[in-house]
Amino acid sequence: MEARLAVGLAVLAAYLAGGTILAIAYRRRAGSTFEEIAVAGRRLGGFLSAMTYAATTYSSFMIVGLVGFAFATGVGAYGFELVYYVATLALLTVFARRVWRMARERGWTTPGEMMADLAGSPRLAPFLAAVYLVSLVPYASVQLKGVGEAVAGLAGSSEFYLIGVAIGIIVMVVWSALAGVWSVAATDALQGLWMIFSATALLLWVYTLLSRNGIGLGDAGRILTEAGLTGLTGFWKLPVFLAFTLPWAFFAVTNPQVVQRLFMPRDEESLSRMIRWFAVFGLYYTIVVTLIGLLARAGAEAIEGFPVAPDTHKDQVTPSLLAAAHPLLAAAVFTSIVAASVSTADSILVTLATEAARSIARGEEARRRAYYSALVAFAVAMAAVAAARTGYIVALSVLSSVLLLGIAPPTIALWLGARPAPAAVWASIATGPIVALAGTLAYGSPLKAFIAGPLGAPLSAWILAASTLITVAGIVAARR
Amino acid sequence: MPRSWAAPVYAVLVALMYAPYAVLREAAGWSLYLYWTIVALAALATAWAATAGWSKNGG
Repeated sequence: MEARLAVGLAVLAAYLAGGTILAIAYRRRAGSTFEEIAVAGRRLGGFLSAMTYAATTYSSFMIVGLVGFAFATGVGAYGFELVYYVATLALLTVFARRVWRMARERGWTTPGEMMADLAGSPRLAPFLAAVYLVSLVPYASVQLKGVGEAVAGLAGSSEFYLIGVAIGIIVMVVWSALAGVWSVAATDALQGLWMIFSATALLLWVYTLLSRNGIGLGDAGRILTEAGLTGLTGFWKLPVFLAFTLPWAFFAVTNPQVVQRLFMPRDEESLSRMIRWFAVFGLYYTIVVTLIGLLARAGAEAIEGFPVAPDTHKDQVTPSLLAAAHPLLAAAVFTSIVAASVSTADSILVTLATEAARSIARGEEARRRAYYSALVAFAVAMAAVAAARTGYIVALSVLSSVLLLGIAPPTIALWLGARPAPAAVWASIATGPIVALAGTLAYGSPLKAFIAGPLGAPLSAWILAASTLITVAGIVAARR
Repeated sequence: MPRSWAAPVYAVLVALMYAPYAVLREAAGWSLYLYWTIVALAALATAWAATAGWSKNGG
């Protein structure tokens, strides 16, 4: 156990040192203006654009959460994740070029600024900054919680949880402060590559465990069929599938940390490369991660002494696999969990800090100072929520995608050139938090409301319907 | 309105992502997994085709 801990921490330390060197190196390339901090001066090349988009999007949910989800609920988990993938490619392919051009012409540095400009309502920006803050601090805290639990799992002691959270928050703040989004993007490239290679290695190892016991892919398929995990008759009933997929389908439009990345590529060729290589990364990573979960379940069902049992809790599947793997493989995957968490959380941190700085400060110098102050303040908030380690954080992070869903219809309308009345844009955005709060109060918990709201339709469907109607009404009203 | 041939293609692909609820609910083996993989590959191919020729001059 001590050797495993030592190897794990050594690999993590080497990775963090490498990332920090990279972040410092990019400090030289980056300028110090607010535009450089927020959108890399609109000078990001295709490779960095693709890797930062991918690493920001794909958090530790993939290698821990989705592995466990696939293990416990079957192939439906793969479909859920791929709806996000197909919808994101649709939104990027159809809108990214137009948004990129408008951002350059109008000088947008944050999504809040974009919405306020397009809607003709300057106060929309600080309002959106507040909505983003409420929605995304819990989500980022869950990433830190993941780091804490990964370190605690490696050490075999929950006393290491706070140390893990501390490591995560220090790395996030240092990398974000060194060169704003430049250092985040550079470290995202390292993190993205690490995530891909370590997940591939884990899959190969799990496959080896099965094949050593005479179980091939065909046999695994038969075992999973017998366990009722290859169709859509178990957990993944249609209302559940809709509840999970609807908010994630609009992630590329509602989440500011990915919208902001549309402003960053230096030219259209880089933008094209961002979309293409994100597409390759995303599909490959999704296939690998879900296969790990599905093959692990087949092994659990059929092999005595397999590292996981069929009734292993879904959040414990990856940690249990790592506990049985070679220390170097375990260290590599453990580090990728930290990498995935940090790459998502520091992107959110930079976006929230730039939104806040733009909202509260005028002038270049004041905005830069406000950025650094906000960075520290939000990081402390995230660390405090993660340190509290309450289960409520997970429920809130599930809701974060729902809270932001009302932003989708007005955003798409504005991108299409329709101009809803500003009041309708405000009302649409407010729909998410209002309906989510009402649902939580009515059904007793955010998770219950998430799955099944009034008439059996998930909360997200109600929010999408309401905000779309409000947006359309706003377009009609504005034309009169 | 952005003129993009990809928009209707993606509308079909998104609909296909939900189509298994009509025809593959009791899928056995890897058939549903393969089905969704093919739809996702079509989405990837569409993205590559639609972003071809985006020039360096737009900067």
